[in-house]
Amino acid sequence: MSDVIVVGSGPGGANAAAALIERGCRVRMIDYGNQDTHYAPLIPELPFRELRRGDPHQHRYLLGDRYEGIPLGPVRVGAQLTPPRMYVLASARENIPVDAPGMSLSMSLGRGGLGAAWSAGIFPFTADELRDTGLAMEELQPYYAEVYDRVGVCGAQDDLAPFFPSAPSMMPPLELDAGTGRIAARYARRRHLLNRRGFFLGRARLAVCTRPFRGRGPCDYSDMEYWADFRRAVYRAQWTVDELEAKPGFTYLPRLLVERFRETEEGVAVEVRQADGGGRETLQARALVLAAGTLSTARLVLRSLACPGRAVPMLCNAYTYVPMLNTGMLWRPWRDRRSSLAQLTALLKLPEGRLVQSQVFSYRSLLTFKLMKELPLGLRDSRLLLQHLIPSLAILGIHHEDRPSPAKTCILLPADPDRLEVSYEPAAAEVLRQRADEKRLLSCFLRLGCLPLKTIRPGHGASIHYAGTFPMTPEDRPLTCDTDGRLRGTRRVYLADGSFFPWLPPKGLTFNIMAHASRVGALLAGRLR
Amino acid sequence: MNGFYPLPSEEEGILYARYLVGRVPPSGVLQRWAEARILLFDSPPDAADAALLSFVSRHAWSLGPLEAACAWLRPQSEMRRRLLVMAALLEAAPEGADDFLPRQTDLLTVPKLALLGLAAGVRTLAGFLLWPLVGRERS
Ligand SMILES: Cc1cc2nc3c(=O)[nH]c(=O)nc-3n(C[C@H](O)[C@H](O)[C@H](O)COP(=O)(O)OP(=O)(O)OC[C@H]3O[C@@H](n4cnc5c(N)ncnc54)[C@H](O)[C@@H]3O)c2cc1C
Repeated sequence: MSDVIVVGSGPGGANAAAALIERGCRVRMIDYGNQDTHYAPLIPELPFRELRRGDPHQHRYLLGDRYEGIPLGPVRVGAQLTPPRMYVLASARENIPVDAPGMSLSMSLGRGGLGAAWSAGIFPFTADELRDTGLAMEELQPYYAEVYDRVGVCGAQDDLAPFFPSAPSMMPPLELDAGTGRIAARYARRRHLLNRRGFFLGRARLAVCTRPFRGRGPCDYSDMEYWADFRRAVYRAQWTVDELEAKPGFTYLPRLLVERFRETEEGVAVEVRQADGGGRETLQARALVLAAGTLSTARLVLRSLACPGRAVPMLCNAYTYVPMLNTGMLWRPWRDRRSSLAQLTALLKLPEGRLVQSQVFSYRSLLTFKLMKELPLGLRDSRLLLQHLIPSLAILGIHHEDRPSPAKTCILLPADPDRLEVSYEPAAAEVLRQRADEKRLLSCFLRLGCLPLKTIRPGHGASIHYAGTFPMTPEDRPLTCDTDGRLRGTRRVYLADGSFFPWLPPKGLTFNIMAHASRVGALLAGRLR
Repeated sequence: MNGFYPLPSEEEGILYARYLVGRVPPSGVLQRWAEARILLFDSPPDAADAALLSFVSRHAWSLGPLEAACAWLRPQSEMRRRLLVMAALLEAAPEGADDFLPRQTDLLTVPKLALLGLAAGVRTLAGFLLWPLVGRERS
């Protein structure tokens, strides 16, 4: 029997396992573990423009062998999920289905989880944002530091510092491209005025190496981040799993679907089904760490604790895209050397104390034809216009906070097979508040010369930040977890994904999942010793 | 094949590519077009979409204005979606890359944009005027 079974190889599972292994535990990681072996080998390690002009096989990975990379409908969720990344969502609909009317949910059964396709934006929470969990910052701080050292993070000490606890081991930020450089320069000139309105701008903090780091990076500015993992400069959870596989005490068990768990005298028994062949087996360990992603973990917990029909909360940051015309770039030259990831982060602190967070991207490597259909013009005219306009486009991705409400729930419906259902209906007042906050944010961007062109709301679930199903609470309530991450009602089952957040600040949650998972692993290792 | 194909694949592909980039596409793109057309447009379109496709197959000159009008009147029309697929195929070929990669911006960019915008407006207006003809031919 191993010490611990970890379910899932995403950012949560990988970091929980790393913390356990670093502290001498024996770990088995159970994972469905889909991988892409089809497209990755086709992509030559070249900068985007060179590859576009030279590679006769580019259509295979840019559009997909079944043209799955041509979006024919309205704006979809996760435009970054290009054909070489689509495996991340493969077979989830059949194996871990969720009914979510009116929502677009993305779930992963991939090695590295959703983190194999993430955009690497990191947003450590502040002490205030952690307060509802009952955790003091000092309790999580060492694990933030541990994750900084494990994943490699770049960023700057700038106006965003008060909103993101600092990190001594941060690498220098990515170079800005020409367009976002203009926005940053304008901000530097209008900073005092904008700060008075609660608007703060700084360099995006990203889990990307700008220096050589643990055999990875540095970023080569080839603008290929949405297609390939050149030099592994962008952190993906599977890099941690790769490292762990070389360590004693760690076993990776792919092609297994966890169906349920039960506690036994000695520990925990985990029932799994083989992905290939469908055979069933039971694996035992002294403790279990669930990091199957918020929704997959919810199904496992509700099923295993026999709670069908019982609603648990469900959180997801509301998300809006706004393409903007960066007027400062209209006649200025641009450089080829760039990264596709977020360039800048902007925060708006409202008088009521609320925050709105947004990231500024520029556009190129996701291909021009996808934008052509968004313009109210003939496609030929759109193409000609976009060839001149793309360098002056800035795409703003806006995140709002989310708090639990009786209309945002997740429930396991008793049936054979049982079905997970998510209902998510924010109150009208909440939606109105979000729209008003977006207006205020966009008025600050106007002062930076960015003219909003269109507001796109891709629907609930589009942020792909799911959380809150078994919140960490200081008080003992069923279907919550304690401050060690232990699921209440169990003795040895721990949660190491987004399930534990009692609310979601308007920030990407993943870096915080990783820090929490590291802490869960570290505390559990201490207890098992 | 259940889809609606008023023109043979190669002819349709050439018509769309000429409109989009002003050239006959390379043979690889035409091959992929034939494949994609069957894979992505395998079900019969509704009557209005079929009428549009038939009309432009008979009157190639009308493709530009009608497609521009579609952007307002039927943005999800099958004709526009077929054109989008051809645009994707052209973009993802080395020979077409420069038709889609961004151009360097300079002091002339703003006047160029204004001219392009004007031409696009005129084309859309022409499309609006042509639109009733499509319906009339159908009936
Ligand atoms: C395109 C995109 C961009 C994103 N950008 C950002 C960003 O910039 N910043 C940010 O903070 N977040 C971002 N996210 C969200 C981020 O990826 C997720 O928050 C994060 O991956 C969650 O980690 P996790 O470990 O909890 O779960 P997941 O990453 O979902 O991993 C779940 C793991 O569990 C396994 N699994 C699930 N169910 C089972 C089962 N029953 N049996 C066996 N194995 C199972 C899967 O194989 C997988 O390995 C983005 C996501 C996407 C898709």
